[in-house]
Amino acid sequence: MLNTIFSKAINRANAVVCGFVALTVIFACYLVYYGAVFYGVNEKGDSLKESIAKKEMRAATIEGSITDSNGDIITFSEEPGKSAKCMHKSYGQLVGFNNAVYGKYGLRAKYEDLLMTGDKTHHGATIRLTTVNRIQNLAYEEIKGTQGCVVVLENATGRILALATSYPGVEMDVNNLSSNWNEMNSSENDGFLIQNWRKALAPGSTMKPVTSTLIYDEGRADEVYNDTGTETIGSHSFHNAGKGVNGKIKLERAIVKSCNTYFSHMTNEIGAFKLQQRAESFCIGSDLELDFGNIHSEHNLMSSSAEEVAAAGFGQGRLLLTPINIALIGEAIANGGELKKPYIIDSISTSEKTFYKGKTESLGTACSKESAAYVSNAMKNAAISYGVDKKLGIHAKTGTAQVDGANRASFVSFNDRYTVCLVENNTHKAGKNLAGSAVRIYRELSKLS
Amino acid sequence: MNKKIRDIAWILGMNVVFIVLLVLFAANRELADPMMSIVIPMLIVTSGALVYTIHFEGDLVIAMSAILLLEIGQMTQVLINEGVSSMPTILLFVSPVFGAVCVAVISYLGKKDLGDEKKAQKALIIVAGGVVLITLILLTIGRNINGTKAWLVLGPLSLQLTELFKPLYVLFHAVLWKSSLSHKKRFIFSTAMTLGSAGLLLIINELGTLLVILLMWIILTFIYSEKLLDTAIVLGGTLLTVLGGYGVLGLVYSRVKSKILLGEKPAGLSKKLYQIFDKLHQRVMIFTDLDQYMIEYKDEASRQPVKAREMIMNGGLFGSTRRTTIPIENSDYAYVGLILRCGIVFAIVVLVLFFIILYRSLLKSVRMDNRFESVMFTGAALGLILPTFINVMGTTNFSFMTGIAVPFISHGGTNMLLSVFNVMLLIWGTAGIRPNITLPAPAKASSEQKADTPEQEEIPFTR
Repeated sequence: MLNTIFSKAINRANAVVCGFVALTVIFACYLVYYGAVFYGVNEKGDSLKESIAKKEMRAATIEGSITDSNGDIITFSEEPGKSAKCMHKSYGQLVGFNNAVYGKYGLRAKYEDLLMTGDKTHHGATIRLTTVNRIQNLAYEEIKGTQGCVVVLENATGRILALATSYPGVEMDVNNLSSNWNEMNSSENDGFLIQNWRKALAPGSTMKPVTSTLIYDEGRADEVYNDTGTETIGSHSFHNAGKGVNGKIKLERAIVKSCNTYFSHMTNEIGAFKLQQRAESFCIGSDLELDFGNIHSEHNLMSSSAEEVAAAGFGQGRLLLTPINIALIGEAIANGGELKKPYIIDSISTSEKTFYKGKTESLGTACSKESAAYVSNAMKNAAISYGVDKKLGIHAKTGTAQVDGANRASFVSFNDRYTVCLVENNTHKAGKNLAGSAVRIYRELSKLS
Repeated sequence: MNKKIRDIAWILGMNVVFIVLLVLFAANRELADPMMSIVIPMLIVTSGALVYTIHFEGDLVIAMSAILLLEIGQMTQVLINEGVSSMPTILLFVSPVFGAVCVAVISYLGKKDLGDEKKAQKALIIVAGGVVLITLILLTIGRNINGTKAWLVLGPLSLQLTELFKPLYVLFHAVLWKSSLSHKKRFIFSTAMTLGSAGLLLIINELGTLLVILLMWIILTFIYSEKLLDTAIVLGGTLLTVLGGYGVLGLVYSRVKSKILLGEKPAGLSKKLYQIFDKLHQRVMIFTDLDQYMIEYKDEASRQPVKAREMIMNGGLFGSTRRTTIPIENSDYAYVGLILRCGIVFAIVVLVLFFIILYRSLLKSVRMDNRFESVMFTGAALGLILPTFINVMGTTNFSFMTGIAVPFISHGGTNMLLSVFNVMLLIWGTAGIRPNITLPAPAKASSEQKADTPEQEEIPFTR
């Protein structure tokens, strides 16, 4: 058959010509597809085209600056296509980097489009944060060299005045990533220096204010509990820190003394369902979408055993909180039960346009005003018991959770304007050891107008 | 005479209009001096080419297509280089002289009698010897440029000698099919020449020309061999050789690599094979996974295809004034440079022009009774279109990339010389071929011719 068709050279030449015609037509169609000429035909090509356009815009744009609430520079760039310089190491983890070799991280990754979208002068948008550089730097200095985190909030608004995180032995120098990239990515640092405010771990006794508001709202604040140093629930016996015995105590004294047996007993009596509801009203167990990233915390009380629920009442068990959650506990108590959403972006704007304006948002009511006032008063006494000067007007609660053979020390505190939360992971310290750092931060905060 | 003048005037007028359009286009793309870089050289060269064509009564469609390609090529180079480039302009004037000399040689060879088997074999050996000689020259004093040792540098001149493989290969087959060798011998000689050339090109690392040679082998066998089975053997053999060769090279590669990792130094040949596979494999990987390369920068080798795709995307249908830099844009990536500046539509028009040349040449050449000329003209047409398709498909990731120039469009002296020669050969070859309707041959002469060339009876064209 084929021999008959292609018996002559002319027929074969015709076949060659037809082959080239077919090839040309197929190729023309391919080229239109490959070049993603028509939007929607080649989805992968479309996204590549967009990224090319972005890359080109980036190359022609001077990366926008990031400033603190006073307009003081945090990052700045002078040349198009060049990565911005960060002026404060305390902001390294927060602002992150946007690097052709090492990738993107932090606020500079999250807001890349705006930082790289040029105005008429080819400058990207400026991000003004709610932070104050000197508070941020101090907060960082307080935790430097530890696996720590500091959160400073303004109670009435939820504005974040400082958000610092650190690791032992390595700093995130975003201006010089090549020098310590390997250390940053070592297994000792969990594979990468994750911002500690995103790490959800057992909160320890800083959970007690939450349980306390529940006990108060249940009308059991004045109920006397006889602490013998041991509370047995199911097959498990709970003890106080240091095997202490407090005798007959009520809620206020239990908060000051951080009495584990009291809280395990009361939680067991009140039940998992109510504690879970109360935790949820403090935004524990749900994802918080914040302007610097999502915060994920966990509780699993409904599927926990009685022992685990009792442990959750004083901050152990199947309960994982981030430093932001712990700070929110303090903020809610300070605000009479009202939760204000934390935010760090004050505004994003160019000389021509404002893209975003941060504002105060309510996250709802966590507890009654009365219970908040009661717990607040108890926390004031607790702060004094930690050695904090009464005149400073600080309310506090410490926490020391056991996580993988080490402590997670936490200190949540507030005064009439600010909430300060310090957390140190993988440490031998106890929560009250962080009080000194908190006090120094409060002293600096008092200088703010 | 009046008709000739009318033809010249009409065609020249068309050419002037086209040059003006090109200049307007170039000006729109912010070109500095289109008068010196495009108008003057193009008017002189193309007008001369048209007069040549009309004088010899060559195929005006072929001539016009080639001239348009020449003009587009000049404009592309001027746009890429952002100004006048003296070397291509000088070459525009030198190429026709070179082409004329070569056409004269082919004309002389076409008249040679190769009826004697010994004479034919001698001629074949001389041509094959030319290929071996080029390889030896390149291996001894050749210069490695852009990864291939295909260049001979003589002072300011850099000649890509491997370009000569193509006309020599075609010449070999032209002699082969004109000779009175048996079908079996022809097939053996053709296979030996192809495999020999392929081996030599592999040593020089010139994969582009190697691919052209293999495709030429398949197409020439398909058109001219009496048996279709030959084509099946050639096609199957080529595929098996390519795939088998890739597998063997891969095997050698893995062995040599393990030796290198152990700190041993590989021997000369295995090192060479290692390098060849490394280059091949890298290109295959880029071809199969370019999207990934687009997302994350992997290595320098992927830069060109990644940038090429960016240029195609930026060029869109009708081109753009955006600037994207790409290594060796004016030679291997000239077609992509054309897409960026003039768009996909214009780039497809370029392919269509090449196709027109192939169509006109092929359908006339296969009707010729002189097999030597017939194969030469088919080979010349293939010599223009095959590198074009290989290049445009490689640089646009339709197939894997091999370094080869697009005739007329890419910057390259040797390429320009041979492209102009090919076109001049085609114009000369198609001269005088007209439908043989009004002039039937005398009865006696016709019967003699039929005995010599059995196909003649069914051919509506004669020379």
